[in-house]
Amino acid sequence: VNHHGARSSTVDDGLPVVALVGRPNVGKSTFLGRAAGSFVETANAPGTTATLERRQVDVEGRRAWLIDLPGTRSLTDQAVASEPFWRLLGEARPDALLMITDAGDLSRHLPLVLACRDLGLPIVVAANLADEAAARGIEVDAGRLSQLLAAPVHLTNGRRGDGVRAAVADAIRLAEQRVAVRRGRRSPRGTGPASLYGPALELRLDGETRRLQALRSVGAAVADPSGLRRLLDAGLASPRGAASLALAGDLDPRRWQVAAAWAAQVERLRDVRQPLADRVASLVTAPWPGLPIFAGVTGLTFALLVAIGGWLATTLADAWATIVSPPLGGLIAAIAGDSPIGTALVWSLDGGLLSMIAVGIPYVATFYVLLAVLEDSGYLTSAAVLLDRVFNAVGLPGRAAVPLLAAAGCNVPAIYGTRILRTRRERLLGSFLVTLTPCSARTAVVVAALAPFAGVGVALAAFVTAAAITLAAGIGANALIPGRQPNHVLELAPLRRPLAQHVLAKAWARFRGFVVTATPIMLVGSFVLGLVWESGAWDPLAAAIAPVTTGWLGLPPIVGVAIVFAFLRKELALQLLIALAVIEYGIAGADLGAILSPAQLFVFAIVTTISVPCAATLATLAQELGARAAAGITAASLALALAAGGVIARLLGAA
Amino acid sequence: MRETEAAETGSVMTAGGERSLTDLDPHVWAVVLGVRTADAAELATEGLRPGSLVSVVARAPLGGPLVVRLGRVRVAVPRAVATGVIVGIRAHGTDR
Repeated sequence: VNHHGARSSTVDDGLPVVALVGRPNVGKSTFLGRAAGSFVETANAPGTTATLERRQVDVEGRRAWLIDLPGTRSLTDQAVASEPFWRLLGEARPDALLMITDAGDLSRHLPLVLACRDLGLPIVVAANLADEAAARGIEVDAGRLSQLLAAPVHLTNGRRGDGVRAAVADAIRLAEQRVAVRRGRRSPRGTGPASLYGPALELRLDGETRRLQALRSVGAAVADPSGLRRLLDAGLASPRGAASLALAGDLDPRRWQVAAAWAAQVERLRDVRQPLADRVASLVTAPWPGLPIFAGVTGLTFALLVAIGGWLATTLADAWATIVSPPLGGLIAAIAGDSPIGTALVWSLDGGLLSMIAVGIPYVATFYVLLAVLEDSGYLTSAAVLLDRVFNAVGLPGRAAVPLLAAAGCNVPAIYGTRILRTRRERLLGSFLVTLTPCSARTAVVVAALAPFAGVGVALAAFVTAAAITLAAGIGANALIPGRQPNHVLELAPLRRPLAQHVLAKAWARFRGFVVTATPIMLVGSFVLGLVWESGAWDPLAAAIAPVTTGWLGLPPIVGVAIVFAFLRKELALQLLIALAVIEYGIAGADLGAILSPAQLFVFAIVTTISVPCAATLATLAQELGARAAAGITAASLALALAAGGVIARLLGAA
Repeated sequence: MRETEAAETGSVMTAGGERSLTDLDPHVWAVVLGVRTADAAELATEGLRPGSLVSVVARAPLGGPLVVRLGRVRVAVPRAVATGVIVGIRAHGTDR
């Protein structure tokens, strides 16, 4: 299997395109990852995929693009970016659809299959999660379902890869046939599948089909507000398929009826004991024992982060100091001497890499593994239900938990993830809170700055304080931004035992991205800082921000410089602080506890956590919500951080 | 009786009177008889439509949503929405 990943909405290299379509949380991204042999960002939570993800695959000698689309409940669903799903499907320009369904829940998944079949595109059905269905006593007669649908059906297990390649190969074969028809190399197939809808609905479908064909014949002279004519012009649906979209509200009830009947025909049931996961699932969303379980999971996650991250940090930093640092310093001195360039190189290569190893790798890597375990277990959406009323207080529905919990890893994908929110108001509120949520880098800063020098309890108190500030800010923003919050329904992910391979692949992919992105910034940033320091340009900068740093926050000037440069990447705040402290105070500066009081460290952690989003997050905000909204969110977070930092400094006697 | 049968035949026998989903006892299976809420379309896309079988799994704290089992999935339904879902208790048994 060859693969090449890229994010794009359209493909135009002559290869057939197969789009993966299915309801949320049915495992499309995992399926794509298995088919392509490479990890795709997934979580056991609905709404993980908010953008189009494509992979080029070569299965059994057939090459094609596979495109992963966000989960949808119907073709007219507007759950993503407030656009009907079929427009997003049109952007992908598929030649065939690979429908990913839940083998244990066909009556809820087949209506979407029937709607896609009506479009006139070839479909292949993957009855996925077949192993979980079997554990619940449900076995699917794939042959019978294939007869009913007049389409190939494969039993698959995307998490383990069973049946995936066969399903993909079938879909590519049908896509190739459609491409051949489009290019005139092959005659189109005969009649389509038998109608489901009865005379009255068929009459309406015929009428709408004729109307759309007439609309198409007059060309651009007539407005096309629905966009259906463009769909026809692009050959992405048959005239009848476009008509079925226009009449979706009338056709859907019949599709659900047929789906229920067909599911009953193809499911073979046997009595089994209710799986443990289902029994636990009933418990985790109830106040008792759900709330104690939530507290336990949160506490355990934090304890593991501190324990494993701290052990790794100490071990790696000691190894660096004894094995790498002396010869590296000697080498740089031999090459560049003690010139400003040589000193800046020491900043960059010795100090910068040490900071990565002492902060970035131990805490970020540990956090990514823990987050991947929680995501893969499906627990996060259950926790979201417990906290639903809290989300309501900040104007968000429970489903906002998905991007907000993702923000604990990185704010950038979390902001993309706010596309699952239905209104711009919700997206603004959600994105604002995402930027206030400690990402892995900020979590690392808080833990590494506070746990060793002020104690684990203080580190935990910093997170609680940051959460309280975020909640208060959310309540304030909810009151200030006009509009009201609509009611929403949230499908909960099933609880599953996390797969080690899945967890490690996900954590590794994220961690590799972090290292690849952060290391050059850290090296260059440390080098520039070294030059700034050696040239004496540091003093004017520190003096300019001293009224805020020292006067308002009660912190030494170097802390302000570290916070300012953390705009590049948040983990820089602590890494640069350590590097600056070593320069300012000598080697004793590496012990932050010797130069900053616990109260000052606490203020530093809070301000770093809440203040201005990092450069990557800011760029994403501007792209997704516009420059004005991005500037507003940035200004609000800066004002909030400074206000909170100043108040806390006074309460703790740091200023 | 399976959900699919209920939806297909539309002739489910119910043992109790009509009640709102919010008044349904936990783990008792009931048939959706009607959906009288402005959010009916959204509920329908989740499969919560007349004829489907539901049971309440849990009630989230502080007046949070009802967690409803629908087929094999769990769906969180805000209580304000659940009030408009009218159900009748199945004639036989309290669990599947």
